Amino acid sequence: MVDRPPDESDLIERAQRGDTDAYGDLVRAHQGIAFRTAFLIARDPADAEEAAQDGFVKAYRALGRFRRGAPFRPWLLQIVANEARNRRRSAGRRANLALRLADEVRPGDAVPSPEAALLSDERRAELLAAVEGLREEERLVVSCRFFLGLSEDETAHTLGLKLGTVKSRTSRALAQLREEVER
Amino acid sequence: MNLEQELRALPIDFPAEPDLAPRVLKRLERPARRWWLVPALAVLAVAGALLAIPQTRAAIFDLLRIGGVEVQRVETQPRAPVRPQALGREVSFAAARDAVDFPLLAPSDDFTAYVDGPMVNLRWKRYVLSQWHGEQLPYAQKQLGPGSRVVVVIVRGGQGLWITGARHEIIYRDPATGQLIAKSRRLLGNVLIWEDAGVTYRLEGARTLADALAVARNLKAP
Repeated sequence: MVDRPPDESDLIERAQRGDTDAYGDLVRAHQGIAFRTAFLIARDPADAEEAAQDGFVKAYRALGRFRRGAPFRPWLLQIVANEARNRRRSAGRRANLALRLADEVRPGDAVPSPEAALLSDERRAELLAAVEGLREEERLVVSCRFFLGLSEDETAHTLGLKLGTVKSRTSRALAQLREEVER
Repeated sequence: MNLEQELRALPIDFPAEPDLAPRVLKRLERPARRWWLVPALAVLAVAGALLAIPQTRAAIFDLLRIGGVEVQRVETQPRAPVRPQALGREVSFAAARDAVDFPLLAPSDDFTAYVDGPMVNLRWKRYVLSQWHGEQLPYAQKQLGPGSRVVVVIVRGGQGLWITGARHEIIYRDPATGQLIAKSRRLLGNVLIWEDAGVTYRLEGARTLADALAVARNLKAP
């Protein structure tokens, strides 16, 4: 018999029956993306950490309402994103941390792809600055789609938007970015 | 390389990912579902004559727990200290929003916002919409006297209750003092209660179920 890792729906079912070990596996599988999602919204590492943690606890409590067979990741991320949004709101007008480019390859990081290597540092900085200059609603869609690598569906779910809204915001944002960096 | 690929290739400097699993699991060790036993027992102590419909007691408990509200049928309504009939402190909507940790729903009409402990109340026309996080105010109970009717309805895609008829009261335990407080309704009449993502909503003042559902449907998070 091949000992393969349990698939996600097994873990969810076990967690629904109160198996916290199974839920621990789900947390470990998704904590990276959950934290990054929270960070993109809250823009503060401590707030993001709290939001992700609270999101996982709330998601566990809400597992009874999770529809069997539905994708878990966007469902979870929506809860985390709400937590992050609430923290950001209560943080008021505190200056947000701007996103930065990683300037050196850290041990353990993936080796940059040849495409990434082709982009000059200057061009990347310009592009990121242009993303940061987008309106919040567009910036979030762009961040989810391209920085987190979420699909359009997942982005819609995470941000609580309609799929059409994600598509239109993406294309509006891309048009604006193009205009700014391809002058 | 097109723009989308360039965006995907941007090496965003995310802070190091924390290991959340141990802390999350620690928090899950605390039992989450038992909280309602405490207020239920407390209310029993206060209301000696409290009686759920015996043969369907379990079913009623399951059926009628919506978010932070537990609905019970009672023969006699308990006597508990009654608070002044107030909606809370009047605040701007922005302040109300800051007072809670969930996105508030609001009508498109002009309204006045009030904060009452963990609860936000919005008043407009003849309606009052109360919203609170189930976890923050888990002790709410709705006591229905004989003569009131409860209908299970779908509200904004989730389960809700439409309660009509006789007077009913919300009872909860004040988180600060531990005292049981009965909130005599500010408006008598019909109530629509529903829950969504851990937040409990209660709409008062609608004359018909259709009216209540239409109001609920048109609420938005501004």
